[in-house]
This record gives sequence, structure tokens and C-alpha cells, in this order.
Amino acid sequence: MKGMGRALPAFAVGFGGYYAAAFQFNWPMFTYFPAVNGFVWGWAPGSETVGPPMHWYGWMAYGVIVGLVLAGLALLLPAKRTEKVWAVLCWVVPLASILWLGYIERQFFM
Amino acid sequence: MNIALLIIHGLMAVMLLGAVTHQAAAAVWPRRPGQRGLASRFRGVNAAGYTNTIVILDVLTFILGGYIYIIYRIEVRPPLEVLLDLPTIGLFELKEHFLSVTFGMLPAYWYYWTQRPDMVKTRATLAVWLALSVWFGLVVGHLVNNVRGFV
Repeated sequence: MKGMGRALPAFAVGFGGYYAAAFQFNWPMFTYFPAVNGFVWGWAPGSETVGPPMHWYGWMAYGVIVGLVLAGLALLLPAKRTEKVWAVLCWVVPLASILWLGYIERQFFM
Repeated sequence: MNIALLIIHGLMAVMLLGAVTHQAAAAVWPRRPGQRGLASRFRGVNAAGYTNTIVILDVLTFILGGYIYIIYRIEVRPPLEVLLDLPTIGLFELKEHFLSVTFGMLPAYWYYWTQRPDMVKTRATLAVWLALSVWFGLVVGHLVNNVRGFV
């Protein structure tokens, strides 16, 4: 597990980075409409007919895929040279994402 | 049924809160030999021993929260929008983002805490992050749960 495990910090980087971008640019894999229990691929708005949309599940789904892809790429890189980079990026990228998301959401508090 | 799920979600979050706070305190401020006070005993735990429990509790709490989120979106948020209670909606949005990004960090957290005892600073950073996210999530969740009494 130790050999494969070094890919796990890269997952956090890919997931955290994509999540913020997905929210900013409306990139969910799908939109869920809980009032009618329906799914639509990609981003879709709510309406009187289908009720409020939920994009969060779609961001999470794509986030997992992006995280897995980056984790796979991390395994191709030399372990010794990159381990300290991943050790920092695995919390710096999520931190940057959270700060950016907080900045976007400031509209609710103004 | 919804209330039962919400209470279970809250109880799991409280258990998680205890575990991550012990671990974060032990990682950032280790107990030194001879220290015997309450705070010393609180942080004088085998921090790594909490890791698997924290991961399991976090995943279960997150999945249950992801299900309850549907109820929030249909039954709770629309009335808040009508009442223009935007700060409460915004707080819940921040909770959603913070806990989602933290969920994506769990594999890294697990790796450093179980496989890499040499990465002391990264382990401490991730433990503190996890503790902050759980504290924030629990406080905001509690506020949103009680918001009907305030508006």
C-alpha cells in the first residue's frame, strides 16, 4: 500500500481544485432534481415543473474522477522528488479552494 | 424519519468531533512527560490510533449528510429564500463546500497518518484541518437546524 498510497495526496489536490472550479464555472457531471427524483446530464436550472436543482452530487462525481486521474498521474512521477510537493499541495490547494469559494459566497452576507 | 436521521447525523458528528479534537490537540501540542493537568490528559492520547475511526465516522456522517441534504433542499431552503434569510443559506453553502473539500482530503489524511509517521507537519496540518471542518460543520448544522426559532 505504501507504494500506491503516495498517489492519495494527489487525489486531494485534484478533487479540491476541481470542486472549486466546478462551482465557479457550473461543471457538474449531472443535475439532480429531488422534487421529481430526476437526473439531467450536465448543468440544468430548476423550474416550476421540476423544482429546485441540486448540482452538488454532480460536482462530487466529477471531483472523484479528476482526483483519480491526478492520483494516477502522480504514480508516474518519481516518488522521492515529488513527495514533499504533494505533502504541501494536499492542503494548500484545498485551502485555496475554500478561500475562493468563501469569496464567491460572500454575496449571502452582504 | 427525517428527524431521526438528522439526530443520528448529529450524534455521529459529535463522536467525530471528539476524536478529531483529541487527535489535533495531540498532534499540535503533544503532552510532555510529567504533565498531569486536564488539558495535558486531553492531548496525551495515541493520536494515530484515532485515524481509522475518524475516517470511518467522517465517511458515514458525510454520506448521511448527503442524503439529508435533499430534505434541506426541498423543505428547508425554499422557506429561507422566501424569508430572505440569506446569511443562514450562505452559512450552509460554506458548510457544504468546506466538508466536501475535506472529504476529498480523507485519502491523503489516512495515508499520512497510517503510512508516514515521518511527515509530522503534514499530519498535524491535516488533523487540524479536519478538526476545524468538523467544528464548523457541527456549529453551522446546529444553527441551521434551529433557525426556525430565530426568524
